[in-house]
Amino acid sequence: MSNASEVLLDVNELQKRYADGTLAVQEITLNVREREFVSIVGPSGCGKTTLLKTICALLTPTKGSVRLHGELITEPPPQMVLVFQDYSRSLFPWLSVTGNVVFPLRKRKDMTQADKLSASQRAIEAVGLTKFAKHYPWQLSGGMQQRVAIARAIAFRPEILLLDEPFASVDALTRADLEDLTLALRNEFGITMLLVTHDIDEAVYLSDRVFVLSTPPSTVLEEIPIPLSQPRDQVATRSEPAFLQLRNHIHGLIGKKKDDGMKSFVLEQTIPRKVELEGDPVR
Amino acid sequence: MTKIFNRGNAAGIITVIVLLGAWQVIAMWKQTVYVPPVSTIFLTFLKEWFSPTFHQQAVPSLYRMAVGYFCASVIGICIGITIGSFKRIYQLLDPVLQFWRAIPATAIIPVGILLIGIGDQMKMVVICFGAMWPILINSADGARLVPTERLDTARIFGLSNFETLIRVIVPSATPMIAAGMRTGLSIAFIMIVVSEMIGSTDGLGYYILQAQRTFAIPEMYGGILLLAILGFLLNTGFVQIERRVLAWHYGQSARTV
Repeated sequence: MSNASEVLLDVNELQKRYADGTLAVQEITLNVREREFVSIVGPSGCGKTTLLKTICALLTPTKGSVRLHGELITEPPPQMVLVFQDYSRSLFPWLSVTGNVVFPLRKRKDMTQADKLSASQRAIEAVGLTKFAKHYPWQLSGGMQQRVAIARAIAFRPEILLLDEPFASVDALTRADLEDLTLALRNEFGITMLLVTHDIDEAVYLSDRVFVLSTPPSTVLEEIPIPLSQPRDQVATRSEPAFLQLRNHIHGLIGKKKDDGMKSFVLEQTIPRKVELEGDPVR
Repeated sequence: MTKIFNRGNAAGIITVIVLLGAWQVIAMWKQTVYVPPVSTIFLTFLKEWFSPTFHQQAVPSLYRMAVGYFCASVIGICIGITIGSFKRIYQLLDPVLQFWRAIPATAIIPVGILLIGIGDQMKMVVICFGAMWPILINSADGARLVPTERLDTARIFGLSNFETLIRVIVPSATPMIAAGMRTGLSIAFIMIVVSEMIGSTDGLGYYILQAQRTFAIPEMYGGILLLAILGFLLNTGFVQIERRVLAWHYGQSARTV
């Protein structure tokens, strides 16, 4: 599924410095091929969310470029959808599940009302929430709410889904369910996935390739292909020797040892912080 | 809250009956003109307000209040949402607004009389002025505090600024707007009474003050009783509508608490 296909997303020497001078992303170069599952893994607070928001043009980069199909991105493109970690803040609590999923489709001039409804029904079915279509998000559990957010994203039919720690606020079992759901959706809808996570095991389990980030200001420490067998399985994959090797390798890279957790996080990196005031778009 | 008279309120109703009974006993025992017995007040109340007096005195008050409050809501929501949606405008205006809203609304009545005279318009303007601030400030906060993720979601799905305003910011702000409108309603109620006491030839404020000045003491208390009933009904009605319109908000808060 991976190597031969064409590059879909090309991130080149991307840098993001906030208006207050904080350098969140120093220089990131990475690419995602069509129908590939790529993860970006790094320690907490390494600017992963900033990176994703800059990739989908919610934030303007201070340097570098993001290209989708070779075209420079300056506004959030319709082929790209971002799923946030905090579903309770990204879903619309005044709309039902169906209302939420249909919501972004109102802009689609190429679809009739019936198309929109059937597309949303299919998306809701794909995430297994058909029975709850008329419920409101706040009537559902956290994992189900994140499913709604994912359904809303896939109903929009993006080519690439950006996932910002989407499983970080749910319990472990739900998390495994959602991971497998994401893999299934990639196969069913042919959507390319770019996941950001601090969970090394999750990144290895899901991905075809993993980019390991440093502590902030972040750079890519290493690009690691994940040659684990497909389809992935929560038990079998996670007990493959290659899986353990890969996760240990990444643990080593990030410098997180089990005994002295936080201390080794701080890789000394002194970057001169020039205060360059740059107008940061507020809304 | 949804039912006015349920079991939980039984104790409260008993309290009311005991207090009124105490009033009745004390008033009959002391025999003072200034505090007539509840029975007298109640009979006067029925005689006065189930007569053309209601149309002459209460309707003008309610009309002024309705117009003033309506204007306050429209202006307050529009300006508030605009201010809250643009960080720069908010930063620019916030100190002015904080200072301005600190003025007790009743203090603006002399200015109203000076500029507009003592007609209906003045009363509507001062009611509007008084009720507008809580609505405006709450709407601004409601719009300002929309979660970033929600606004980002709107941008990702390609909504224009106007669509984001109408479909995301305004619905997100409705719980706060409603809270502001409820505060505004009680302020409007205060403003109508005070403005009618200062310069008027009709209305409930005028009626109460006039009754006091002409020693029609039971009528004075009757007017106050009518105000209490109207205030209670307005607030209850408001809460009922709010519960229905913002069912999602109450459902959500009940879940997260």
